[in-house]
Amino acid sequence: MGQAADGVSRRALLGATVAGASVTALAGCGTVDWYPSDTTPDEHVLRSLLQEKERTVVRYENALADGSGPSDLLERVLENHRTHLDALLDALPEDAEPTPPEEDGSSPVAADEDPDLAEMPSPSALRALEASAAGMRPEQAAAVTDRGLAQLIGSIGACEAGHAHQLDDA
Amino acid sequence: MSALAEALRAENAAVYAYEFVAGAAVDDDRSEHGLALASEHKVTRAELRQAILDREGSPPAVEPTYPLPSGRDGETLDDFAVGVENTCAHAALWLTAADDTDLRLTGARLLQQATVRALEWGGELDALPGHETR
Repeated sequence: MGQAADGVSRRALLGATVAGASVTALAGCGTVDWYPSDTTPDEHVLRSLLQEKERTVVRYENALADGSGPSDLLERVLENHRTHLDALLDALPEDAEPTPPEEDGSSPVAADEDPDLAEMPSPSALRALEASAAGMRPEQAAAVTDRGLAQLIGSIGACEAGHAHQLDDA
Repeated sequence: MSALAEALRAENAAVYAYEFVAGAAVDDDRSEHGLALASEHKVTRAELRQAILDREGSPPAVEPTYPLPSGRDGETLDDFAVGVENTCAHAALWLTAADDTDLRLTGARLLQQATVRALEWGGELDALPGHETR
């Protein structure tokens, strides 16, 4: 289980670059496998989750900045997502870098600079996002070899299902 | 197989609990909700029982009784139902760690269902449902 190092959290390091990975992938043609071949399947799933979770955090931060949604609920949900992010980072192998190696030397793009994330999402859009995420978790939990990681993914999915329920009621 | 058996024990208790809630609740909404969830847990119970049989295991027997709350007021019944779902969630979490892929999928699905049901009864949402955090 990895830990934060020298005052710079792995979450912060990841946040600076993880969204850039998708940009890097999209900038190329078709499917770009930007994970090195020696990355384990579990780490591949983990990094996909980390990337997705980082983008979700940015979306909630934007929604809160917009101020039009149920702020108390959005704050609680955002905190849960940050907890998920920390737990996923802790699940990375000890010797893993907090960010995947860049294969083409391109500069990372921060999630909060990604134009795709610049829009202010509505509560209904966030609810759809949570429901979609929760729907993917069972398959992801089944895809990993580490049983503890499967539990973590399953539990995150349950929390996201709860978020969808709460946003539906909001 | 032990995680599967534990999940079935939780469902056995949930069916009993919700039949109690349906009968004890004074208001129609709470009673009907309890009845509906008793039916849903019966379906899950049958599914888990069959999963054990498919794997040539022996399903744990239904107990004659399960713990019930002493009070019958709405708040007590709601808290009781939250506890029932948290127990189901905890059992489902262990099922998500099964080596059997089908059981993992089942565990992850049941964990989501239990989490949402607990919220419906007024429970709080943990960042990582199923873990014993409270």
